[in-house]
Amino acid sequence: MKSNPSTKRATNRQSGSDQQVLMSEILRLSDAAKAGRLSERADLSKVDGESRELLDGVNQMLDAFVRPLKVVNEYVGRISKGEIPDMITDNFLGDFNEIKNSLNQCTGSLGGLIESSEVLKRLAVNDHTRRVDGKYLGIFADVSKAVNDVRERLVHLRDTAQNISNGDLSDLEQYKKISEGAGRRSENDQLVPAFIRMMEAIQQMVDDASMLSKAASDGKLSTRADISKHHGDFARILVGVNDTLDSVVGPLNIAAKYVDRISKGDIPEKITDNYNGDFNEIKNNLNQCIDGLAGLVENNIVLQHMAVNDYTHRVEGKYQGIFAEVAEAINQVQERIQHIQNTAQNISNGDLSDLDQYRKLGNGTGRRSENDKLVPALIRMMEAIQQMGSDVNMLSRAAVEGKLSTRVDASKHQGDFRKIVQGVDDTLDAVIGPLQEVSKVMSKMMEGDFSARIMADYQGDFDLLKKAINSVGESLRKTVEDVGTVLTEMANGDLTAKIAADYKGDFSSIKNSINQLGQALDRVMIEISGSAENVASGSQQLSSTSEQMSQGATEQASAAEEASSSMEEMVSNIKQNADNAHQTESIATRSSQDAKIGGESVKQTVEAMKKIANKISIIEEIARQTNLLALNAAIEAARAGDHGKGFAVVASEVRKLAERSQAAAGEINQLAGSSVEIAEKAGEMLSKLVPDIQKTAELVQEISGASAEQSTGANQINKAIQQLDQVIQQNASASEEMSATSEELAGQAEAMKEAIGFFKLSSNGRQVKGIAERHAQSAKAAHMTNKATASPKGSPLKEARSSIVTKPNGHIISLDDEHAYNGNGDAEFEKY
Amino acid sequence: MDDNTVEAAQYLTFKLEDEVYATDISRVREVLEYSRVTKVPRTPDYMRGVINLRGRVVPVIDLKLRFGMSRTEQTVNTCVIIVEVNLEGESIIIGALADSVQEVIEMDPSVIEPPPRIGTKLNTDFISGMGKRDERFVIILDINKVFSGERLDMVKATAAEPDMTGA
Repeated sequence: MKSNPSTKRATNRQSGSDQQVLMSEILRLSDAAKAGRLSERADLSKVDGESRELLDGVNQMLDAFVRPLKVVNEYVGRISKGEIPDMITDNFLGDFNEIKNSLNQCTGSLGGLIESSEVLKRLAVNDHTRRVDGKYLGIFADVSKAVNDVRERLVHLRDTAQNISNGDLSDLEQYKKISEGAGRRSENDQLVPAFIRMMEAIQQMVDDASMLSKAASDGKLSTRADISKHHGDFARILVGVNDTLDSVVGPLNIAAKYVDRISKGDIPEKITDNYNGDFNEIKNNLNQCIDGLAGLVENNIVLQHMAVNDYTHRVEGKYQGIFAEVAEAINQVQERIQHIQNTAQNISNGDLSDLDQYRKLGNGTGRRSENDKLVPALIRMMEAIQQMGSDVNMLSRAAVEGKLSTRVDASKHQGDFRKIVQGVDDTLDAVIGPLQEVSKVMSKMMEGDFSARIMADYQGDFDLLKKAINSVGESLRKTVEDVGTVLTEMANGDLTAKIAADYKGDFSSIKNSINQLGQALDRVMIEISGSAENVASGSQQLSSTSEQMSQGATEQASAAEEASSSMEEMVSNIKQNADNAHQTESIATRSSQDAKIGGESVKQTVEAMKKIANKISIIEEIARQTNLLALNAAIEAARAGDHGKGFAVVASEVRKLAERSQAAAGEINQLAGSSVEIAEKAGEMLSKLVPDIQKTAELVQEISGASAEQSTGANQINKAIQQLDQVIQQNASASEEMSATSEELAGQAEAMKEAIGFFKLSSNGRQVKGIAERHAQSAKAAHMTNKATASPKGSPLKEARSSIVTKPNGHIISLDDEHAYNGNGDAEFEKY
Repeated sequence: MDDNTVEAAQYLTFKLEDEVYATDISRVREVLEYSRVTKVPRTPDYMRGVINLRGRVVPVIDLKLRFGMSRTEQTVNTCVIIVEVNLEGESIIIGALADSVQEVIEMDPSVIEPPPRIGTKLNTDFISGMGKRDERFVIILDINKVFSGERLDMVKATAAEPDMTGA
C-alpha cells in the first residue's frame, strides 16, 4: 500500500533515478517501520513531481497510523504499570475508533479491580465495613464476589471472636453444625476447626475454674484442676490457678493454726515468715492480733498490781480497737484510784482544796456515773472535815473577838468528829471560869473598889494570874491612898506636902508628878504674891498718870475748839473771796464784749473819716479849678484893659473865694487825716484790750475755782479739828476712867495678896527672885508702865514673870508664857 | 504896651520853688493845668515837649531847668502859662511850666526896684525888676529875654509854623 502511489508517480513522471530514490526512500521507510521507528519520514527534497507527491502521501499515511498507535501505546503502557487512565475522549475513525472503545471498556473493567483492591486493602487492616458494590463483567465479577465472600467469613469470625471475648461460647454449636456436621467449610478449612477447638478449650477451662471455685466455697482447699486435660497456655493458666490456690491455702492454714491457738488462750509468737501482698496483710493482722493479746497480758499485769494497791503501773503499749479501749479503761481506773489516793493524801495534809473539783464532776452531780458511790463518799468526808475546820475556826475567831460564850453545836458532827468538837467546847469552859472571876474583880477596881480580890483557888497559870491581879489591886489601893492624903493637905493650903514612900514604875512617876504639882503650885503662888504687890503699886502710878493725861486732854480740847472757830471764820472769808472772784469774772467777760463792740465802732468811724477825706479832696479840686478859672478870667480882664476892670474885680473875688475854700478844704482834710489816725490807734488799743480782758476773766475764774477748793479744804480741816476735839474729849474721859480703874486694880491686888496668904508656902516670895532674874528676857510680856517704881524690891524681873491684862471687869492673872518657863524652869525646880 | 510905666501895671504871679515870680499880664494868654506833653525827640532838656492848644502845637519850656534849677515835678498845682513871646520880631506862643500860679496883681512902678547886679542866681538880663509886695520881693521877668538867645532856635523852629498860621 505504501509503495504504490509513489511507484506510480515515479514511473509516470520521472526517470529511473527518481524511481530509484523513491524506491530507496520507501525501502528505508519500510525498514524503519519494521524496526519500529515510526517517526521516520520520507525525504521529499530528493524527488520531484509525482514521486514527491507519492512520498508525501506515504508520510501522511504514516502519520494517520502512528497517532492512534501512540495513544494506544501510551494507554496500554499506563495500564500495564497498574495506572488506570481516563477514558479516551479523542475521536478516531473507523478501526481506530473500535480500538479506542475497546480500550475504554478495558479501562472500566479495571475499575472493578480497583474497587476489589480497595476492599481488600481495608480487609487487610481489619476494616470489614466495605463491600465491592460495583457491577462488573466476567472475571471482574468473580473477583468481586470472592472478595465479598471473604469479607463475610471474616465478619462472622470477628463476631464469634467478639462473643468469645464476651464469654459467649454459644457459637460453638453453630460452628460444629457447619457443612452438615463436618465442622468445616471445605476440606482444607482449618479455620473453623481451629475456632471450634479454641472454643472447646476455653469451655474446658471454664468448667475447671468453676469446679475449683465450687470446691473452694465448699472448703475443699485441696481440690486442684487436672492440667493434663489442657495444653499450652491454657495448661499454664490452670497451673497458675493451682499454684495460686497453693499459695493461698498455705498462709490460710498458718492463720487457722494461730487463731486456733489464740482461741485456746495460747498467745503464739509473731509470724516472722515473709508473705507477699494480701498474705502479708493477713500476716500483719494476725501479728497485730497477737499484739492486742499482748495488751491483754499487760492489762492483766497492771490489774494484778492494782489488786495489791500498787497504782504506779499503767498500760503503756499502743493497741488497736477493743484492746486500746480496754487499755484506756484500765488506765482511767488507775487514774481514778490514783486521784483518790492523792486526795486522801491531801486530806491527810489538811488540804481540802480538791473538794470543789469533786463537786464539779459529772456536770455538777458530784459523781462520775449513776452508780458512783465513791466520789459522793469522798465529798461527804471532806465536807465533814471542812465543817469541823470551820467550826473550830469560828470558835477561835469568837475567842479573838472576846465572845467566850460561843460554842460549837456538837450535834452537827458525828462519831469521832463529835468527840473532838465536844473536847474543844469543854476546854473553853475550863478557861472561861477564871477569866470571868478576873473580869469581876477588874470591874470592881474600875468602879474604884481597890479592895476587891480573887478569893478562889486556882492552879498553874490561873494561880499566877490571880496573884498578879491581887497585887495590882494592893498597889493601886496604896497609891491612891497616898495621893489622896497629899492632895488633901494641899487643899488645906499646905503646898509643901509631899509623898515620901517609894513606888515602882508608873506609880513612881505619879508620885513624882504629884510632888512636882505641889512644887509648881507653891512656886506659882509665890510669884503671884510678888506680882500682886507689883500690880498694886503699878496701878497707883497708873492712876496718877491717867489723871495728868485727863487734864492734858481737857486743855487740848479747848485749844481744838478755838482752832475750829478760827477755821470757820476762814471758811467764810474764802467763800466771800470766791463770790467776789465770780462777780469779777462776769464783769470782765462783759467788758471784753463791750471792748469788742467799741473796736467795731472805731473801725466804722475810721472808714467814715476816710470817706469824708475823699469827698473833701473833691471840693479841693473844685476850688482849684475855680481858682484857675478865676485867674484866666483875670488874665482876660487884664488883657481887655480898662473894659475888663470890673470883670477883673469879680474874677479876683472869685479867685479869693476859691482860694479860701481850697484852704478850708485842705484844713478839713488834714483834720480828717489826723482823726483817722487817732481812731485807728484807738481801734488797735481796743483790740489789744480784748484779749487782756479775756485773760483777766480766765485768771479770775481760776481764782474762783481755787477759792472753792480752798473752801472745801478748809471745811475738811474744820471737820478734822472737830473730830480731833471729840477724840481728845474721849481721851480725857478714858484717862479718867483709867485712873479709876487702876485704883480699883490696886485694891484687887491687895485682896489677892491676902488670898494668897492662905497658902503655906516654902518662902515668902523673896526666894523666887532668882528665878525671875532668869526670865528677864521675857519682860516684854509685862504691860505695866511704871516698871521702875512698881516693886519696892526694885525687881522688874519679877513682874516679867507674869503678864497682867487690865480690863474694866477685873484682873486676869496668867502664867508667863510656857516656852520661857520650860526653857529655864526645870533646872530651877530640881533645887527644891 | 511897653510904655505903660506910668500907670500901675498888672502882673501874673507864679512860683518856682519858693520864690514868687511875675510876668506882665499883657504877654500872658491863659493858664492851663499841666496834664501831659508829647515828647519831641532831639530837643533840649528844658523843652518838655509840645501840647495841643486848640489845634495849635505849643512847645512847653521848663522854666526851672531854663533857669538852672531842678526839673519841675508835676503836682496838682503845676500849671502851664501860655505866653506870647516876641523873638527877633516874631511873635511865638510858648508854654512856660510853673510850680504854681498865684494871682493877677497890680503893682505901682514905685514899688518896683531895678534888678540887682549881683546876688541872684539868675542872669539878671531876664529880670526887668524886683517888685516889693508884703515885705517880700516878686521877681518880675522879662519874658522876651527869658526866651531869647540861640538856645531857643529849636523852640522857634518848632513854634514858627503855627505862629505863622496863627499870626
